[in-house]
Amino acid sequence: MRDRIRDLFKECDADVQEVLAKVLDLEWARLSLEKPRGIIDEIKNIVDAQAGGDENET
Amino acid sequence: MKLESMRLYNFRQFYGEQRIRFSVDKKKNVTIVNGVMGAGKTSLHRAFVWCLYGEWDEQTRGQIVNKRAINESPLNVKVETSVQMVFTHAGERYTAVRTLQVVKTSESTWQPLGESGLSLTKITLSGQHETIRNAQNFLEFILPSSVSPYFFFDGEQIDEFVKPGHETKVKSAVRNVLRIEVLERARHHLDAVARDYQKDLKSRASGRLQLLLVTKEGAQSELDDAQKRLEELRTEKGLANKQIEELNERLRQIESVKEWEEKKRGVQSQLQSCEKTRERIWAEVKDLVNRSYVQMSMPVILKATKLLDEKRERGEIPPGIREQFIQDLINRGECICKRPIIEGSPEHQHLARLLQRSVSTYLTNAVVQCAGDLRSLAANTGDTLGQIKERMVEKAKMEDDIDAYSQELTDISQHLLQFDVEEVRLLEKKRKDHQDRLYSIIGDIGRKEERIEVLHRAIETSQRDIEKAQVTEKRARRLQKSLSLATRAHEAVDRMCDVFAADMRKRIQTEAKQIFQRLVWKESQFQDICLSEDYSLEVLDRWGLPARRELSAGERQVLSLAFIIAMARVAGEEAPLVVDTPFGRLSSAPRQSITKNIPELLEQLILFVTDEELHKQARQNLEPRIGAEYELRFDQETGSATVAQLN
Repeated sequence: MRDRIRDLFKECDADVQEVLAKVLDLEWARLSLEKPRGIIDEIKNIVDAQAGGDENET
Repeated sequence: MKLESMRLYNFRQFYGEQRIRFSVDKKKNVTIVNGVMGAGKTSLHRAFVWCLYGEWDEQTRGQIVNKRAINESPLNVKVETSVQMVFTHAGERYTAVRTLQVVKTSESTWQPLGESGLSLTKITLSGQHETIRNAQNFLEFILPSSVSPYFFFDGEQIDEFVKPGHETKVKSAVRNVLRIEVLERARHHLDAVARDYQKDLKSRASGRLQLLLVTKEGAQSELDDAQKRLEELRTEKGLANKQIEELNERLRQIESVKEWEEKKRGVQSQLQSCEKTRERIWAEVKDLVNRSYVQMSMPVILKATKLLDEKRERGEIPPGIREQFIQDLINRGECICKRPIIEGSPEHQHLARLLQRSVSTYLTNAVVQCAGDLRSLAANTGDTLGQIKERMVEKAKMEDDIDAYSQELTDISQHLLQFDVEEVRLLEKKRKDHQDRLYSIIGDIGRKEERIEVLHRAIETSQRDIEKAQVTEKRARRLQKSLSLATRAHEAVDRMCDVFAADMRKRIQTEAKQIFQRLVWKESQFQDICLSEDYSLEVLDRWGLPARRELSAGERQVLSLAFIIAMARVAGEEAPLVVDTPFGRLSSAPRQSITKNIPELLEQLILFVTDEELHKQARQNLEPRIGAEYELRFDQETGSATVAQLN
């Protein structure tokens, strides 16, 4: 099911795919928690790292 | 997840250690656990959920720890209960053990020693083992607790899915088993992240850096001009000085003016000397003022010294008896004269009063030290104020002299301007003009130097602000990138969330239809099912009309089973179906249909059945698929159940 969900985004830009793969893994791991604490900051770290990575590449 | 074995230890009615090995053979994927009512089938079924998730409601399900084990235990000795499950997942083998300890506190009472604990170990093919640190999270990752009720369930209670008004339950089941919530949560969280970025970006208003750069550029340009002008003024000053010197020289060469020029030179020399002296005196005054704070505080210092002296004269400082001495006497319970000091006695009370009045050794030392320091300070201060007064008188005299010499120079100049030789008058006038210009230039130089200093400071400040703003702008640029990425990711999830849910709903419907058609028996009036957009699970009769309300409890159970298996198959979930009392409500026809078809549809099937559930034909249907079979035997005498292997 994880692979199937990941496949949904194969048409998206590479950076969006990277972010979503990591975010979905994170959400998957925290699914049992009603209100996963600190997840917003963790997603921000994922997005920032990807956005920063692009900046370094350019 | 594929279950390999289970070990119970003092769990519920299972005294001591009991083991079950589940069939993992693909062709013989059914494990049967037989047991009469009360033999422990439901307890064994609940052991799965307790071991994996720690879920147990003692109020409704009774105590976990075996009563016989507690009864046989001596007082205050720990009694342990545990359930161990060995399973494989994604090619790896794991052992999960949940343990609970109680201690017997009396013949009829016991207390749990904390919460139950879970440990999870991964065992490699080579026999190496590795402890999984966050065991509960890892198990949730493999099979979430929210999904487990669709794999470990009571066969008699699963018909709720198809009861009218249970659309929310069906929707929740689809969302949980197919992890649609993962997408929904990602959508929600990415939206929140994008909003945070937007807010942050807004607070870092752009344009400030531009403004700072313009300000700095303006200040730099003005500084360049000011420095250029300063150089020009310094050149003009040098030129004016040179011209004045040339005119002085020409005037000195005129015989009749020589005497005045010499006098003027002498006065100028005196004037310069006076100005230097005045500067020196002023520097001394400033130094004395800086050191006069002690003199200013002298009245307070003298008053404090007097107070301390008075206390010393009265014998209060230092105190006659030290606090520590009194405390030691009380602690020892005996005076230095060997007289006993008993608590509550007049001696003890007297010492307690003394202790209350006494001052701590630290404070006493500090006060004595302070009194000494103040006296020393007062003695070494000297008459600073008198010295300042003297210097100010000297400075005033020097200023009078400067005024007098200045006036003398003005008089000399005035005299030369009215001199009876025209050349002298002209030269003096020129010299005076140059002198006035020189003063003006010197004033301009002072102002320029001051302005240059201000501009330097402004440029330094601007540069610091620019550096800060550059960091902010850089962060803003990165924020903009992050915002764009988070927004695009959110939009992608948003687009796919509903599409995925709809697709999964359709797949489940198709799969459930196929399963239902395999399970449905020929006498049944119901031929088809559909899962509507609002997650209402409907059944259609042979005429294609909705007939959910007409279903019997057994029919609802078959439909629910078809729905659960369809969900598991669509989700690709590798989990066993563990069903307690699967055929309790079913009549012969559906029972035969289920036993014939279900094993083929699942990876692993574990059934807890009563002796009445598996009739001859149903058993014959299952027989070729049974890989392991057990019987639960309850001993009325000991009140304990045991697990016996049948094949």
